[in-house]
Amino acid sequence: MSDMHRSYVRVLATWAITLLGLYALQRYFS
Amino acid sequence: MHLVDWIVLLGLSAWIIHDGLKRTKDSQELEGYFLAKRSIPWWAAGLSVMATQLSAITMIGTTGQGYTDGLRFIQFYYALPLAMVVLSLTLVPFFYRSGVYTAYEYLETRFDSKTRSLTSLLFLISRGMSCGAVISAPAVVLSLVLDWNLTATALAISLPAVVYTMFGGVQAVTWTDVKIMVIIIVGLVAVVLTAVLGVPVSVGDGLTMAAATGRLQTFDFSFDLTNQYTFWSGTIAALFLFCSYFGTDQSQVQRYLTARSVDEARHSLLMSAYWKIPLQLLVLLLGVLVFVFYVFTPPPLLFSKTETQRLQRGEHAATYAALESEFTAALAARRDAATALAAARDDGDPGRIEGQRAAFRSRNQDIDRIRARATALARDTSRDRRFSDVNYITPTFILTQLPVGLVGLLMLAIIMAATDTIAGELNSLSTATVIDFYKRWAKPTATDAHYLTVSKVATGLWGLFACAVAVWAAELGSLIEVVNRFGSFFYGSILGVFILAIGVPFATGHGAFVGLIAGMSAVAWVASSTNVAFLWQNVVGAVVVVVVGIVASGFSRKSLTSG
Repeated sequence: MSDMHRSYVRVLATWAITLLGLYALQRYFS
Repeated sequence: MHLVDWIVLLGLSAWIIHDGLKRTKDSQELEGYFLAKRSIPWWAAGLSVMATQLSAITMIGTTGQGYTDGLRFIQFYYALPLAMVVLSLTLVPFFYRSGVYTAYEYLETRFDSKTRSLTSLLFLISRGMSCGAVISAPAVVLSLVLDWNLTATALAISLPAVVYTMFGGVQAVTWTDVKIMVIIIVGLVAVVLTAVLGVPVSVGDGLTMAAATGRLQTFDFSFDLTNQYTFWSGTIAALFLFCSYFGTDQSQVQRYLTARSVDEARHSLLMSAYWKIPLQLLVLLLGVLVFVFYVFTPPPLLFSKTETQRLQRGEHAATYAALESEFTAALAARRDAATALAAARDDGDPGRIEGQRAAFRSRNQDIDRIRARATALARDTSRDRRFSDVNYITPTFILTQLPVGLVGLLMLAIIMAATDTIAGELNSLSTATVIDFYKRWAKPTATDAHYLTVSKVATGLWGLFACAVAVWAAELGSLIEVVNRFGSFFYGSILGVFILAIGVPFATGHGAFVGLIAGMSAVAWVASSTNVAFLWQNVVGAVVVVVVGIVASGFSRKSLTSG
């Protein structure tokens, strides 16, 4: 896998973690 | 503002602009002026992409939206990282390797001159007018909050942008963007800390209060085509919008065309993929925390000082005075409910917590009702049906609650957020004017020095046009709305043309042109005859262009073959 493709995977993983974090924020305080 | 704030505001502005111009190199050549000779590091190009997108409307309007509506708006950005990956894989390498100055120039290489000219013209019309809106919206608010003259405020925002863009080109724009982004982030964090430190309960208690009123809702899974802010519109429909905005709008494309290599151009876009959602969360969370702050510190009934004074002197003065008394009592009741909710959380009894959450929600609804009545009175008194108090919340909080020095920094952040957006747009407007029209149609061969002079004149003229639109925005109000609406018609459609260009090998110029007209017409029809939310209109535009474009390309190839 090239460096650029590794960057895309990192972006997508960060995106998924960010969305999970936001969902957790909503669930925890509601 | 205090003298120290003025010193911070003027001193930092002068340094930012001076340093931006000082870093300008090779701007006596066209490639240096428009593309920085492709020498900008990826992180600077990335910050510039983010700064151009973050305008004063974000600083004033979006934070206010966080106060009244909570985090719901964050869903709008869910598709942005996906769009950045898609663009890095598709359009970015095409643009970068073809050596173009504008996104539309690529369309002539692939299709024909009429498709290039039409898309570029649509960009010039919509961006030219939106520049005026970008200046006028914060200028109106700042002039009222700070008691400044409206024209002077609009000029204070726009003139620095015109000067440094005209003389420094894209390099001055990029390096000022970098510093402005840092100031904006420091400013936002300072406001968040001020709000947090001013609340007598823990951050957890404060967020529980915000959640009780629905302000921490970050996911809405309902599928409703008329609702702008749902998970589905934010991930599916917004993907089309962001691909179009970052992939085909010259104000964005030009930022990453300045990067040193195609991979650096990709990395500059991926920077937004990492940071846009957290940054937008910070902006909205600021509004939510200011809401929590005002649960414990009595806010004014209306944040707009001008409207409050008008109401106190106008025909509804007695009704407004009665509303203010009602508001004071309702604030005390909400504060008591908030204290009781915090105590219940300390206690840890789930039943009691739920009961206090409901009580707090109910007291907050009382306040919302009183504020709605006050806003209606303000609209009636000022005869301005569009008046919204939302835009005055953050400036009022900054001016009344932040310490001396930080007020100047935040005012600088708001003004410069508008300035850097305009600078990026002026630079791209000038590029499209000179490359797609002047060089293409009027004077195809001339020296770099000649094109450079024309580019500077074009930047200056677009700046004057934007200033004029901003200053006369009140009179042009409905016209600006019409033009911005018109602009929203073709975002998806232009994306459709680029999908045809790189994804459909047999698509012809004639097919793309017919598809573009059909796509824009379809969006205009959907916008005028249905309640479908703006984000979904981008999907309609892109899909219609691609489908009609493929069919029309088939016909044009057939007629060519048979002819």
